[in-house]
Amino acid sequence: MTHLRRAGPFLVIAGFIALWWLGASDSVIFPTPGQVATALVELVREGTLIRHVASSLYRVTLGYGLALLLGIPVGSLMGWYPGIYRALNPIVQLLRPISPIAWIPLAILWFGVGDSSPIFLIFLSSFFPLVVSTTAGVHLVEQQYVRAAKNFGVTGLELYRRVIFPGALPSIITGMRVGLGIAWLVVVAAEMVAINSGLGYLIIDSRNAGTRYDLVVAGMVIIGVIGFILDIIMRRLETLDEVRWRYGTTR
Amino acid sequence: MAPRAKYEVTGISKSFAGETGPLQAIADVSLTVHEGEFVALVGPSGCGKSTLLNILGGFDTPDHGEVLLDGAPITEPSRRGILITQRGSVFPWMTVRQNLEFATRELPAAEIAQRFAHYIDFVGLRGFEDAWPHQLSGGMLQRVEVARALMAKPDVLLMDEPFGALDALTRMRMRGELIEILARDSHTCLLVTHDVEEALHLADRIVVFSPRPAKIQCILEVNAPHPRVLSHPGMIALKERILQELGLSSLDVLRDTAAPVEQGQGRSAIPEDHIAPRGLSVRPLSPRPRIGGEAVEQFDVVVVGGGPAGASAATVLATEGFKVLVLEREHFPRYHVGESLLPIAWDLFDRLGVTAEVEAEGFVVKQGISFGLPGQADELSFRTSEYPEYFQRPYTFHVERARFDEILLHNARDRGATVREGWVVRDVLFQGDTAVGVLAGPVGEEPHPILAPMVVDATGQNCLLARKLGWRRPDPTLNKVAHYAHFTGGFRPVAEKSEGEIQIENASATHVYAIEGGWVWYIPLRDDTVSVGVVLDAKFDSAKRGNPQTRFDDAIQSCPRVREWLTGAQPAMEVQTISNISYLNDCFVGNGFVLVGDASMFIDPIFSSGVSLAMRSGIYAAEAIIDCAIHKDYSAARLEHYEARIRLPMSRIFKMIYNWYAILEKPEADNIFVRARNSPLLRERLLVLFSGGYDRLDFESLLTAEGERH
Repeated sequence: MTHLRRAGPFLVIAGFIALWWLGASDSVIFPTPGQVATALVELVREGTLIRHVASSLYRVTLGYGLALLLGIPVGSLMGWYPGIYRALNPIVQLLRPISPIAWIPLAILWFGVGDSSPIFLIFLSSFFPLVVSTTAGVHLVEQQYVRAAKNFGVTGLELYRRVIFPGALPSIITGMRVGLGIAWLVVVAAEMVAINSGLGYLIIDSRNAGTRYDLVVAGMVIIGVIGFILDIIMRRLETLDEVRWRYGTTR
Repeated sequence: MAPRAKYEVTGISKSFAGETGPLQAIADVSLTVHEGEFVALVGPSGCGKSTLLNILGGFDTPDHGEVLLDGAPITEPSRRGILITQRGSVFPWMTVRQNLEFATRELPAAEIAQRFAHYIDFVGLRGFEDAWPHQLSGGMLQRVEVARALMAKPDVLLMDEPFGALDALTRMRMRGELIEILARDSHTCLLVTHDVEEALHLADRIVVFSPRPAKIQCILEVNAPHPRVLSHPGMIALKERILQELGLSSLDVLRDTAAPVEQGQGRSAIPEDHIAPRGLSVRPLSPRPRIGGEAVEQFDVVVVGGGPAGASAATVLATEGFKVLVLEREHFPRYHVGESLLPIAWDLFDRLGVTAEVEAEGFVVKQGISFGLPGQADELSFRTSEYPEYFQRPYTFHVERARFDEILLHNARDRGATVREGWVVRDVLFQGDTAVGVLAGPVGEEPHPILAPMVVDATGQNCLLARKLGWRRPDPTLNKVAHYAHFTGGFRPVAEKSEGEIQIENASATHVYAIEGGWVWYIPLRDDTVSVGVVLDAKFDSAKRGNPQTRFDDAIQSCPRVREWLTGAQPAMEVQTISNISYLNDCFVGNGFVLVGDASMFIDPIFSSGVSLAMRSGIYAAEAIIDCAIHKDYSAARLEHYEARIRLPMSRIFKMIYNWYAILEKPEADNIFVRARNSPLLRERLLVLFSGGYDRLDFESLLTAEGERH
């Protein structure tokens, strides 16, 4: 049983690739898995793959890092001070549902066609989930912990650092995971417009420059794999001892 | 030399904003606590003891009066008085070591290390220094809590039901440990508890409080060395004294002093002079012996109606040795609606001594409720197993009331009550404004008088006394009609499961779907039977044409899910109708009588609270009657305690029902069910309420909780 359970996901992937191969073997344009693999090897040999991946990750790191730097303090303030919550919540709720893609024209207008535009878009996309989950996390810190801390004379910033923040951390980590997922979605979309590097650029460029669909699919595969790895890393955060109490101890 | 005063409390009062104006929690309390003294505060739950403790800890301020600690007023919480509560405040994100060191953070490192080494041994947690709280048991967590408090070297330990969340065995052990700790490291202690034995075990002085607003009723000294033996005659006498002050005494004391008592059907536990009828100028008939020359029958208590409320009252009273007569019009088993129970019922089964029998019956297990709400694509499921620690067991049953009610009534009979089925009560006999018995007889025969100083009206929706006295009060805002029936062969949904929770095979849930004009229930019972009912707004229902059957069918047709589930199912009975939902009668007590169960109020079935509330009202009424017997006073004033006790959970369930219809009828209403999906805290509390824990939580506070933090 355990063997089957471990092998299960691999069997499904193998089956998927087999179907793809069968389906694509007659097509002139749509590449087979073999052609995609060859294209991947070609990209690695040329050194372009590592360049594109590095550009995309660089933009995500900056945009997402900025969102962490601003989102967590803003969310904390909104969670702790009802006045700030009442003041900021409407604007947050108003801006949050707007897809980052919709901001592309404005981003290009404000930041030009360099790295700044996608960084801004990634910042926007992960900032709101972080603010919302941080706010909720601070709301959820149970009153008895705050009372206990005050009982031991802990107030102000120290109260935040030792009680409010760690109490809200499980919720913040959930927000971080969601935010990073969206950031990775957005970077590819943002790179499809007016940029000359990155995985999104790789895809759109391969299509424009001679319909190289093997490269298009290779780019898609790489995006999927990196997104998957990022999610695994974020999930590891949820197993830290400092936050496991909130997610339950059964995992 | 007189001991030094630690706390000096002078004339403090405290009120909170209540539903109908300010609610006084504490009224003019003065108390001095000496250095090194252990004082226990006992009183009815919700009487304001915890508020008092919060004030002593600086977490709350009194409206009037003064609290001095070592001669100086208290303005804010400080390390001088550490508060320990049953909810526990050990930080789950810190190890045991970090938690303990939190209490001493700005001391020199050497001092911290020395205290830590001392107290970790002190509470026996050596080896668990770097464990995380989620790896510890409840008892160990509570020891971390105590050790952390001691690390701060407080002047005073303030304990609010510190062991309330632990199981009985661990609670006993923790008490012993606390005594040992205090023997080695003397502290001034204040303990709030509802457990009289706990107070007797630990305290030097016991302060007994009255029901809200809290006033000091009496202060008792416990002059016994530790370790104390609670079965010592002196301790038993003290316990009885406290219980009596609380109005909860069992009849033990009375039994010792009163005439010898035989068990069961024999003589009464109530002294003879008291049950003697108060003159026999009874109306409307003069007492006429039915069978040639035989004397008029007399009982201690006559219970009219043998449903869950009546059977519960009879069981408790008969167990205490009362001579109880239950008169039931029907012959059990008989059909009755209201099949879904709540987890709180386990406590009630225990009280009635019927747990094993109910369990052995093999009723369908119910593990929660599922709501299909307007505008929500998926059902909102609330499983009681999500927070299993609140109730004895995280599940309950769907019962066929024919069998369930029979079990309860037979249990009352087994405990010594006289049960007569097929008897009709024509009237309750009054002398002035005091009930003195009933006029009753077998169906179709001439009724005759039966006398008792206490009449319990458990006549269900017939509301015998409330109608007679004009106390019946329908709630115009909740004017509903219910049509319902049983089916065989309907689909049997299995309760949704998820990982990491307690799981029971083939568990079901109560399914509720909102439809136009009201809602539908779908309850799986045994033997392939399901109970299906619709509750409709009375105006909506009366605007429809046709007989109850077509109104029922139309309503089911408007609910796609239940329509699908009933495809191919066969009706097992004719559609029945109840049209008098809801009512809440003006008074539940009078001189010599009480109203219990549906005879006192009938509430909307949405939260399945009817049966549990009825059993609870029967038990509470019986306890009030026991108190009456002790004081030889069956007046309304003495019985009012029962009414106050049952009205609290009732008013809370009414709040929930109002909110439910607000959600159904106004799309913009604050939908607490949907909100609970994303807020574990809210969800946890809602589940306590769905399980019947109305006296543990106030629904109102839930609705407003999120707005007014900090």
